Amino acid sequence: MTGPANNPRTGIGRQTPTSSSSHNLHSKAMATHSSNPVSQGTFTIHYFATASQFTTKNTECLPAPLPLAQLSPLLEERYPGIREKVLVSCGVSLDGEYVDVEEDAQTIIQAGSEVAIIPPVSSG
Amino acid sequence: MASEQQQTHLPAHLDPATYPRTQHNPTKNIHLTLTYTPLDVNTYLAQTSSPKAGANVLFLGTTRDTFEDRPVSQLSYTCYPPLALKTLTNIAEAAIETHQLIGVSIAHRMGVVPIGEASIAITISAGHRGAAWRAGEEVLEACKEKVEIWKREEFVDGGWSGGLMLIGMRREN
Repeated sequence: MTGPANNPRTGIGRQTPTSSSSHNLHSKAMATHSSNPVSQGTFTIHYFATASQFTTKNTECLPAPLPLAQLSPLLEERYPGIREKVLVSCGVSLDGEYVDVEEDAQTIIQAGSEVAIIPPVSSG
Repeated sequence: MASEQQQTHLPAHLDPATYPRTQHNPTKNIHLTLTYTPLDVNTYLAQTSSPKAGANVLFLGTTRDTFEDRPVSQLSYTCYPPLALKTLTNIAEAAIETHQLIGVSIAHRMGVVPIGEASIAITISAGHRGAAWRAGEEVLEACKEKVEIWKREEFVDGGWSGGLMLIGMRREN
């Protein structure tokens, strides 16, 4: 098998920093953030290992829809430093499939979707 | 606070009550298990055994009491089943195709695994021993490289593995 599942750690933090124009989106995003995991207009994001440690969360809901390209900037705004310390070595999945933040930059994370931040694995 | 929230709304993939998560493909004779209970070796051997198999290899990965010379007090594992089961399937299918195997079972334990107990069990059944040995090693290495499972080692002297250096870090929310 080839494809993202064989190389999940594409480094979602490597995309270029956002312009300040995106900050409005982020402010709104944070204002509408809810602790209710099934609230409308949100997607679920799961954190593991280093990502879970950095955010101090296993999971949370973030406002949807959100372009995939905006995921890393949004997380950086919510968790300053996460891009360089964590996201550069992480893959990201959307509804059970790995996505490439550059190739799939135009993909929209829809309400009800499930995103996961996938750090380097350590099974066995 | 976040910690209260996550305790209240423990996501399903971290809730032991939603396990074991198993997947069986009788056609290809692939058996996958993610479980919070001790691994049952006899079950996995039975899953892949066959009158056509002349070789049955079992690998058990067990938890060590040290990591890089530091005494380990406890190990635990978490996983993301939607991806982990997919990746395990790909690994098992690739091994069957490459080595003409009769059956593959991969089981991984989640949560705390006491020192000396098995965290992963791989059984391979093949016509002959050469293929079974080689496949067993390949499957294990592929699992360690790819499967969406994370180990956390807590040390006797405090601290734990895989941790970020967070000292001095501050967050605003």
